Amino acid sequence: MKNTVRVERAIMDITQQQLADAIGVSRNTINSIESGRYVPSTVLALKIARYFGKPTDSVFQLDEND
Amino acid sequence: MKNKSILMPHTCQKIGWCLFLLLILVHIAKRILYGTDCYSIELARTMAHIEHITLIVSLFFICLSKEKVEDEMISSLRLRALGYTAYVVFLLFLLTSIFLECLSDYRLGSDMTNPYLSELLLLVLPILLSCLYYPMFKLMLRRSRKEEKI
Repeated sequence: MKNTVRVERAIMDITQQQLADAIGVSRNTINSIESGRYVPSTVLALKIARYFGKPTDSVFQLDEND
Repeated sequence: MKNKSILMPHTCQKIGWCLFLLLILVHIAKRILYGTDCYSIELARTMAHIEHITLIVSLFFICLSKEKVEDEMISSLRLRALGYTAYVVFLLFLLTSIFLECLSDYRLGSDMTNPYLSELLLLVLPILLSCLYYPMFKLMLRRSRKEEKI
């Protein structure tokens, strides 16, 4: 699954730590999601999308292998 | 929507480490002060029981307490570490059983098994589980943090 978390974060001009604090996870988790090493749960994906004020499927998309 | 965590608070991990360090210190002090043959067998047995129970309690606290920030990625790392531990424990028990069976056949010329094996495995199991699971989990966590830096 690919995502645009890094892009959305850059648009909002916030750090990984700020996003992590707002969502209630560690910075390591945000970094792992951004680099595609960790696929978040539905709840976490919804939380992230809500924070950016975007629909979930515009932040997270299935890639060819899914 | 929140999944209830069955892990103990992070403070319990600190208590566990304190107990573990205390146990090591007591063990070293005992060796320095008394050596091996200066106190009775009864006392030595009681001390060994207390040490064994303290070790299990401390490992229980260390392994089953939350990290400072316990989130779903850490939970997934825990699950993976537990999975690997299960594989290793099953393989280890299988190999040990086969090895001891072969050993008893070789020594006694019969198919007798060690009568204390099951008790020994029961005593060792919690320590073995902790010693495999916790370092594996910490290693995965460290690797994940290291990948972050790259």
